[in-house]
Amino acid sequence: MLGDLLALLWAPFLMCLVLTGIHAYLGVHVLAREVVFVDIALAQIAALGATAAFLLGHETDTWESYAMGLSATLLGALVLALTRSRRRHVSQEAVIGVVYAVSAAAAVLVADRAPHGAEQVRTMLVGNLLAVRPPEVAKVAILYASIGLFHWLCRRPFFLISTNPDAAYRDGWRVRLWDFLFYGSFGVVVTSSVRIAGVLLVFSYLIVPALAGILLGRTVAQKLIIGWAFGTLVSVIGMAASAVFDLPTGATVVCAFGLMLIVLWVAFQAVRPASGRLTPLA
Amino acid sequence: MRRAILILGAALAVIGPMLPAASAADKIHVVATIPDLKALTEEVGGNLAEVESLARGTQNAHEIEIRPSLMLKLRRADLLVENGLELDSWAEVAVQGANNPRIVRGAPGRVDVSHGVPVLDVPSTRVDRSMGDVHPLGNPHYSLDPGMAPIITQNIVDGLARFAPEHRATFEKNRQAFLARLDEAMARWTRALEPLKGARVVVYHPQWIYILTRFGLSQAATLEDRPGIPASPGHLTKVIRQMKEERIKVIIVEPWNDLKLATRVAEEAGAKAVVLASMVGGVKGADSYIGAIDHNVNALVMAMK
Repeated sequence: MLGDLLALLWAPFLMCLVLTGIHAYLGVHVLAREVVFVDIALAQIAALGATAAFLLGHETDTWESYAMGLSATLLGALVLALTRSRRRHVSQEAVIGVVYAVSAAAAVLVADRAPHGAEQVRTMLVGNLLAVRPPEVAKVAILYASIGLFHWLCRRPFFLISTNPDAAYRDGWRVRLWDFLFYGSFGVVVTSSVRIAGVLLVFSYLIVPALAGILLGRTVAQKLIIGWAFGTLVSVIGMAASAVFDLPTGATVVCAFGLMLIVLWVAFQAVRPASGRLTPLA
Repeated sequence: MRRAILILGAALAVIGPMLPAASAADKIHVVATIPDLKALTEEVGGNLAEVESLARGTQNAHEIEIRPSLMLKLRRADLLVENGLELDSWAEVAVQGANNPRIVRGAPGRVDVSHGVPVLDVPSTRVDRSMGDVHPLGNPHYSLDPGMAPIITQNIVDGLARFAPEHRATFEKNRQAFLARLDEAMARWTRALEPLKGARVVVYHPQWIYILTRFGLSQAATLEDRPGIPASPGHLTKVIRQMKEERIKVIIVEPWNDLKLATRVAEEAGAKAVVLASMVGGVKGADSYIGAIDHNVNALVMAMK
């Protein structure tokens, strides 16, 4: 029985590790920029694009579906890059919130017209981890590794703009362009991840490991390593819980993230009660 | 000039009201909840009835979102043909919103075609929400079983005849003609499925019990652990194991269910996943009653080769 269970779960588990790798890194950026909801909004836009492709008859694993999801996300990324102002306004969060709500509702409308719309909407929410096959894991791993390489090569401007945008402007970096490149590569990742893991899980992988890293780590390297470790740990716990307690996998991993975050915070309070900060200090 | 206009006006005033009356008075407005019943009503009603369906063939018949357009259709209806056995309880909301006295529960225009249907899978124990989307009155997915067509069409004839008794003979004639064509098709299907008698299949949702029983196959397991709730890895592993032990070669998937997951499970178990039309119009090429069953029989035979 255990052998059969592992045979079913090993590819989904590998996929979780791949997701952890890229999402924990991007999450550090997202938290530094203090635009936490941007990823859930872009994930939802990607889901809307995929749902629209679905309406036109392109199933989830076709290139047309991917192209439509990506175009929608890049458009969203463009909007988000353009609405950033030099002074940090609250209004960008408002824009992001509206974008999320509208794209979620639009996806429901689009799905209503499509063949198996309701199933599509649910899959976009909690994903379809159990249906992942080994070739898919390889494809996604290669894609994310390429994006990781791109970010490594351009790490100076990316980190400077995320952590200290004023310094970036002063140093003459073209902030809007780098923003677009950031959100664009972010969009590529999110578009791929959403069709496998769903909006909620993508959000969790993005934010929670990075939160753990920022809570416990000081340097960027420390934050990343802690984030990766945390993401891996939660993936193991989530998938194991889904197998042992007979629960749907995607939703269980999301709840595992929540649970482990609470455990982490409690432990953090116990160890360092004086500086109980949860927000990043960049 | 003025005289021409007067004459034209007078002509229109005389002819005009006759035109819509001529087309509307002849046809009975029937609304069916699902496309299977629309198809059967069209066979029986012929050109005396104008039939619409609330659900589309590709949808999950358990949960249709009620929209204003459905209420409008019901408002104009003379007859409502429903599947019964709590499959189309979602339609009740639309019926109430439509405020049409002809089709409320108990009215003569309300036709429940499940009367007289020998229902399978009636639960013997108490059912509740924790068991998922279980059907408390028994399995309601009988409409695409060709053996049920005589009973269903008889109920439709009775319903139509209650509304238009003068046409009963025509409805009966249409019904007999359709059943004759169905009998021919039935012979063809029985021949095609003869070699598969006794075979066991896995299904996603227990949608297929009637047609499987009709042709001598049986359902070994469902991919859904509990209907309407996504499967857990533990349950899927059990199904894969059972498929390997019993050498089950086919997983039947409804058009509205997760083909990707079913394909993964089939791969693990060395079987094939095949999409069958759960209702008329559910897949391409399944646009009539006989056409839908044709599609299903052929697809099943191909998958089991």
